[in-house]
Amino acid sequence: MTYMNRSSALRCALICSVALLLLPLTAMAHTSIAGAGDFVTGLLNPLTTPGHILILIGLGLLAGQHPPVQLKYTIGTFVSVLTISLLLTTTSYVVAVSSTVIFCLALVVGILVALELQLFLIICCVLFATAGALIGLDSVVEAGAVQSPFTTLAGTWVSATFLLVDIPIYTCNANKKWMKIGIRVTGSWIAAIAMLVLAFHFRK
Amino acid sequence: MNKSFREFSHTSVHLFWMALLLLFSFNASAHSETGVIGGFASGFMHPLRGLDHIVAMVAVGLWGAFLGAPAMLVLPVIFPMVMAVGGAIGILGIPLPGIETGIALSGVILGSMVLFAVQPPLWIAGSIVGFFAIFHGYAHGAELPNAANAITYAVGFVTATGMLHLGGISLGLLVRWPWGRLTVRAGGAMIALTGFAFLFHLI
Repeated sequence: MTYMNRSSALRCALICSVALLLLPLTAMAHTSIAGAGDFVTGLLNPLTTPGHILILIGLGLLAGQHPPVQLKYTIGTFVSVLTISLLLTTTSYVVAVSSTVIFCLALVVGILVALELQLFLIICCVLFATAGALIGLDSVVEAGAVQSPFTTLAGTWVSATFLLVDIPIYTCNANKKWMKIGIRVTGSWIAAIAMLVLAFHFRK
Repeated sequence: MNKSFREFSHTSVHLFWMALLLLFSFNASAHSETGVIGGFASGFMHPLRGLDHIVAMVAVGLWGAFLGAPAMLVLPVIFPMVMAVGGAIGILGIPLPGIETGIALSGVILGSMVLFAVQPPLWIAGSIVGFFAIFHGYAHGAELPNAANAITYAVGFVTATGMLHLGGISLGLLVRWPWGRLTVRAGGAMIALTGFAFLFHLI
């Protein structure tokens, strides 16, 4: 971050976060996207699955709110568990993940970001591991939807990892008060959206 | 690192983000209330269709500006979360009495706070704002159109509310000038009067 103004970078990141929040679609669980290759299909999956994108943005913001020294542990945990979970989806041991659980996690993450709580490292790691497991197991490639499931899963891995690593780079540099509040407001929006979606799920 | 390289890097980062956003363009839905875009449009427009909602949201921002930091920045964090609780109660169909009265009273109370430049401790201000957020959220949740996409409706609804707060805070920043302070307090008076009008069914 030596070559550009930090506030400009943060502004870009916030605008893109909001723009990405405006664009979620219904869960598609790796159905093929017309005109896109297997890798691109996987690449777009976390970005077009509302629960995944909410969790990834929330976790990115949460990671940025914690001291940088913790980043390597939390992100390392997430990436490891995500890798294992994605590989598990190619076996018969895969467990179906309810979208309710995904949005519950998004709600928790949003509240933690809004409250700006400094969590113990072990709690952070458990949270990131849970997120990695849920996102990975919820990214099952539908049989016959793509030619190469591993290529699609690689796309998902790259996309989720990039998003989670990218956001803390900006939020770590949020030194001004209004920037920190902006991050907390984004967290409260994530929590609010997750809460409303959960209410839709539980509606009779 | 020389200046031209810095400028080039800065521009390239902006171009990268713009290109990334271009990847997410969708087909136009032409005023449909259904589907992804319809859900967002429906949710986004919902808080903007009711004058009683608009004045209350703007009043939160105006009052926050009067209270100054940290209240100005904390109230927009509290409001969406508490409003979502109200929205969830409304979506689930749990009865809550006095919704319309609560919404009208929110205009009266919040407008009066701005008019009289009341500056209570942050926890009291937060409690007042949170209390009224329940009523506004409930109304939005209970009036949800069945055809709307749930997720994008929620995103639109929260975004519009946040933007109304931002509008209120922006107007409220005028308080740093004497004429601006008068203008903001006059705005508070108008909001309180609007609230009274809704309370006594004059509008």
